[in-house]
Amino acid sequence: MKELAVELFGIEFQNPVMVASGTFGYGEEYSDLISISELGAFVTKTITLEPRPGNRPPRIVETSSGMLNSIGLANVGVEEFICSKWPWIRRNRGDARVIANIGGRSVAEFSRMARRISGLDGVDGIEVNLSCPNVEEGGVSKLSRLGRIGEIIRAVCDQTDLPVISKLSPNLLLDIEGMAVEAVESGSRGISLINTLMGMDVDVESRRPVLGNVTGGLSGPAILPVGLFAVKKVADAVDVPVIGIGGITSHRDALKYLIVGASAVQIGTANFTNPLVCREVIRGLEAYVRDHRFESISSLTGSLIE
Amino acid sequence: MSIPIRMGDGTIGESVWLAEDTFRLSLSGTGLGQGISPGQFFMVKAWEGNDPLLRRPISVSDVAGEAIYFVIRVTGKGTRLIAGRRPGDRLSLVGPLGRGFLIPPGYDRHILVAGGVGIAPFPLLARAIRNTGQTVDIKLLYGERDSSRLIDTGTMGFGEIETSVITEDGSSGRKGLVTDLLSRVLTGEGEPAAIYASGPWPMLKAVQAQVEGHRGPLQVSMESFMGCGLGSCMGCVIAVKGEGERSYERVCHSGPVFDGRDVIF
Repeated sequence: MKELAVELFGIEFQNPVMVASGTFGYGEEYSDLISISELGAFVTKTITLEPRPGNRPPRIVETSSGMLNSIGLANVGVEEFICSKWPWIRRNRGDARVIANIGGRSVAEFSRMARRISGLDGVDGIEVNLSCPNVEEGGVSKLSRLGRIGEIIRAVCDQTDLPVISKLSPNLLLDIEGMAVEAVESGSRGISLINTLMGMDVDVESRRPVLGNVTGGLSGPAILPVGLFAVKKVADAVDVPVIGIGGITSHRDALKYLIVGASAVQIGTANFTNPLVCREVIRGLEAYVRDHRFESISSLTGSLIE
Repeated sequence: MSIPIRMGDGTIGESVWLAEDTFRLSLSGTGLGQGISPGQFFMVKAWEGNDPLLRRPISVSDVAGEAIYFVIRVTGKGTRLIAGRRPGDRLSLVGPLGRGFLIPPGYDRHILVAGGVGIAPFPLLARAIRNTGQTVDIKLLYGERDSSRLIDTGTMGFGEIETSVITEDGSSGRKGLVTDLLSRVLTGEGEPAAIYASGPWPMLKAVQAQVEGHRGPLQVSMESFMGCGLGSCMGCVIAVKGEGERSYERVCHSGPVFDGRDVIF
């Protein structure tokens, strides 16, 4: 449906619905149920220079209308990704855009990752993970700092002509526009947010933390209002496209993000509970645009009446 | 070979309590009953809305024609909600998922070691072993904490099977742990047996230690809290012996059934 097509950073996406990094594996895991070709964009799990085993289990725990995870960027590493995951993604992507999400422990690692990913034929954009709550080096506590964000984004942009999107954390919510502005001034052509909120859970019998890593990141419907607030703040502060993430389970949730200023959305945790959620959201948006006689879904972006 | 993963609804045919906290559910009309391997599971949702958020991984207990059977113990919010559903209600399923039990060729003796609700996948396994066509000796060893939790194996669809029961407090059958039964069986005869174990972690750890020195294969069905069940979220990993060092494997994707000698407890 052409009314759902959106243009971000000079690229057309067939619809504004993407999967959030780390919630759709490498695409293949879901392929019996839903094809990545239906998406506006497939966003890979965070890829790092070296393979990472991830954190000590238990790694997830359910909370009220949400979940905490402490996966810790477990991934196969960039060389294995290129060798064993990328060919499948390329073959099955259809008209979907592909955004590679990259992580790193240092400016040099981000720089090398950007160069390596940039060389892959068929990648449409790079999303820089500045916001993982579950690793010490290369996680939110070290990267989501004013000054540091600019350094990383400049280093990434120096190595690639692809659009660079900065994925921000909500954990320093009151500074979030400042971070977005710094990312944009450093060359970021889009901002995606939010990543998970830091949290923890405790077993009252053993009096131990439930997660092996003690703390984790909260996701799921519980964080939707935080995501909307953060997206509104950032969309009001920058003039690049903003991608709204956090707690979307239906097309109505996606619409809320668009209305407060997002140009597209990413769906995360809901893929775990309803593997067909992206398809349902796309169909829901189609019906909404048709029923409300909008010429294009883009006209909803930032249409909040205050 | 694994069959495609699908998502669908099923209608509850019957829901029968087998013990104080354990029930057996039949689901019809799912269209998902064909080709399920013993030990495979479905991600199940039995409620509307987002709380509880995640589906619950439930292993298939048996399949008869189009009907799928689950044996479920109430351990928390999700399983309590499933228990509250009545005949005619619909459940949402994603599956079948994971790698189930393999029946190693060339073994005449098969020992099924169950701790608690770990017994759930064994009726389908026993059927699959019988269906290999060989004359085989299948023993079911079943341990529970006490008689209130003891599942009546006669109603689980095992058919004729030599069963030994043991409870921790001796309120039914012998008194002790299921591993006491296993050690008796293993020391009794010489011919190697294929051993399949399913139950809580401490039990599986004890079985692993006990089987050291035994020449037959050991397969264990592991339990873990799961996010997606599809291999995507990386949440349900356990440690296994990898090349050189330990590695983390997804229970939903590489398991739930693992080579029992590879798991690091």
